[in-house]
Amino acid sequence: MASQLIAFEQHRAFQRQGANQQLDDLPYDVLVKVLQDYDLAPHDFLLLAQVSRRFNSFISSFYFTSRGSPNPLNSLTITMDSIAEPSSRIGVRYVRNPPLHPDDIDFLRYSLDLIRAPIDQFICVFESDVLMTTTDYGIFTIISSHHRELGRFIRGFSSIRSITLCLEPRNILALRSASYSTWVMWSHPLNTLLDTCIGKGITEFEIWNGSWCIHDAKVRFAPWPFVIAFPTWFHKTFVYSRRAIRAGPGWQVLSLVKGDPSANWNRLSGYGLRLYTNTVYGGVRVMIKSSLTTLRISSPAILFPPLSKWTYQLVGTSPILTTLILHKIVQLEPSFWRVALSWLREAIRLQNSLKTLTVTECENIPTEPLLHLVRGTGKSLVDLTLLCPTQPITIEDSDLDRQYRSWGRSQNTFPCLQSIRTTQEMLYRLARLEDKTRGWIADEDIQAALGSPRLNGVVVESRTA
Amino acid sequence: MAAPATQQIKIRCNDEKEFTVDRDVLERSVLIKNMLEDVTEQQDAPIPLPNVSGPVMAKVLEYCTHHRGEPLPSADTEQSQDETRKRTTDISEWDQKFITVDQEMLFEIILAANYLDIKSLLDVGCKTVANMIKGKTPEEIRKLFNIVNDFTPEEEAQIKKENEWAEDR
Repeated sequence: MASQLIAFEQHRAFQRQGANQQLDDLPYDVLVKVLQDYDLAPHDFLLLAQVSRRFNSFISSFYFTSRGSPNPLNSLTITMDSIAEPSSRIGVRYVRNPPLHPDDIDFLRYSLDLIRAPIDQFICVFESDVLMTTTDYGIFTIISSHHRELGRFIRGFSSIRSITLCLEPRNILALRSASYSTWVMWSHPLNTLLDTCIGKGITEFEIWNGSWCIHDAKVRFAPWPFVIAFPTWFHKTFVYSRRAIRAGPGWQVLSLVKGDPSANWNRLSGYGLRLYTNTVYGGVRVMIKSSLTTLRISSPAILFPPLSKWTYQLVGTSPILTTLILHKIVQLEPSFWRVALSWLREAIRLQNSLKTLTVTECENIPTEPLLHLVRGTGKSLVDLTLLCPTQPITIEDSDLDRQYRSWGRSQNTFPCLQSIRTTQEMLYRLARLEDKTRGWIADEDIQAALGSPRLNGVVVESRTA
Repeated sequence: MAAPATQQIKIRCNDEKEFTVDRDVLERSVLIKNMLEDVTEQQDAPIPLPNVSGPVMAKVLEYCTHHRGEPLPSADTEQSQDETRKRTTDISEWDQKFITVDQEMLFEIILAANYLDIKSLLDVGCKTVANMIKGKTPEEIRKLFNIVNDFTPEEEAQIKKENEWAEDR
C-alpha cells in the first residue's frame, strides 16, 4: 500500500511554477487543448502567436504535432473535398489523407511562416460555392473577387514555387459565355495575382479547370456527330520560314471553316497556363521578371483573355523574353483575336528580344490580323511556327488542287469534303500531298504571290481519336 | 431495504486540508478512480493530492458533486465525444456560473482537472479560456493574461508584417 501511494504521488506530477497561475504557465498539453480542440478561428491563432515567443513557437509546433508534417517530397496539396457531389472528381487532388479542413489553409500558411518550411508546391482547388467547404468557411472561391486574399496568402509562403489554381465549373461556364467586358473584369485580379506570383519567385503557375465532366460532355454532345465516329483525326503543322511572312494575299484564300472546339480535347482536362522561369526562389521582383525567357500559355478561351494583357505587357517590357508560345487556345471568337493580335504585334515591336513565336492549335484566328502580326514583327522574329487546330482532315482525290491551294492559309487548311477512314489511306494520300505541295510552291502564281518562299518544312501530324 | 451506505474516502491536499467525500463523487476523477480500484484493502489513510490546494479542491468537489451520477465517458465514447466537443465553445448554464471565478482560480481548476483527469471539468476550463482569447488583439491578450511581450522590436515588426493579410480582413 505504501509503495502504491508513493507511485500515486509521483503519478503525472508536474512542476508548479508558483502560486499565481497564468495562461503562460499552463503545461503544453493543456495549452494544446485550449487552442486546438475548441475551434478558435485561424485569425485568433495568428493574433495569439504575436503575444509572446512561447506562443509563437508553440503554435507552430502543435500544428504539425497534431496534423502531420508536409510529406517527404516537400509538396503539399490542400484538398477541399466535394461534399455535394461525392462522385465528382472536379478539381480534387488527393494527396493527404484525410484531406485538410478548409480552415487548415490558414493554419498551414501561418505555421509555414513560423518554421520556414521549404514547401515547393501549393495546389488550391476552387470548388463551387454551393459546397459547404467553401461557403461555410469563407474560403475564397472566385479569383475575380478574392484575389487580394489569395495574393496575401501566396506572399505569406516563404518558399513556394508552384501554384495551381483550379477554377470551379460555374466560373468556367459563366466565362465561356461571357462578353469581352467580363473578361476584362477578370483580367485585373488575375494579372495582379500573376504579378504576385512572379514577384514571389514562383517558377510555375498553372491555372486549369479541373472539370472532367464538362470536357466529357462536350465530346459526348459534340455538334458534329461524325467527329466522334471517325477513327482518325489530324492536325496540321506548318513551319514557315521568315521569308514566307511576305506571303500576303496568298494566305487569304478561303474563309475559315469553324471546327468543333471539343475535337482536340480528347477527354483531357487541365489545359492551363504555365509560366516558367529559370530562377529558383528568391530575389526581387524585377530580377525574377527579367529572368523569364519563355512564356507558354495554354489555355481554354475562358482564361486567355484575362491573361492576355498581362502577357502583352510582359512581352513588351521584358528585355530577355525570347520565346512566346500560345498553345491550344480555343473557342475564342475571331473578334477577340483581332484585338489581341494587334496588341501582341505592338508588344513584340516594342522589344527586340523575342525570337520565337509559336502558335499551336489555336482556333478561330482570323487570317488578316495574323498576317499583320507576322508582317509587323518580321524583322525581329526569327522563328514563327503556326500549328493549325485539330480538324478531321478530309482529302478528296478530285479536289487535290484545291487542297494544295489552301495550304497557305493559317489554319483550317483542308476543306472537309470527305473523311479519311484509315491511317493507311491517309499515308497513301500524304505521299501524293507532298508531291503536290512542292508542285504548288513551284507554281508561278504562287511564286508571284509569295515572293519565292523558302519553306523550312511542312509537318503533317496525325492523331487517332 | 435501506440503500447501501456510500463509501467515504479521505483526501489530503498540499496545504494539509483534508476532505471526506463520497466515493462516487471522487470517482469523477479517473486518476482517483483507478487508484481506488487498484487498492484492494480497506485503508484509512487519506489519499495525498500534492498538486491541488484546499480551495481549489473544494471547487473541484463542488463540480464533481453536481455532476455525480452522470456516466463517465468510456474509451469507446470518448472519441466521438471529442469530435462533438470540438468546434463548439458552448458551456452549460450551471458550468458557466461555476467557472465564473478569478483568473488565478480558473487556471488552478484547469491544472487540477488535468492532474486529476476529470475530462469534463477540463473541457469547461479550456472552453472558458478559449472564449476569453477569441477576438482579442495580441495586446489585449497580454493585458488580460498578464503576459510579458518578450519579442524584440525587430521580431515584432517582422511578425506583424507577415500577418498583415490577416489583420485587415
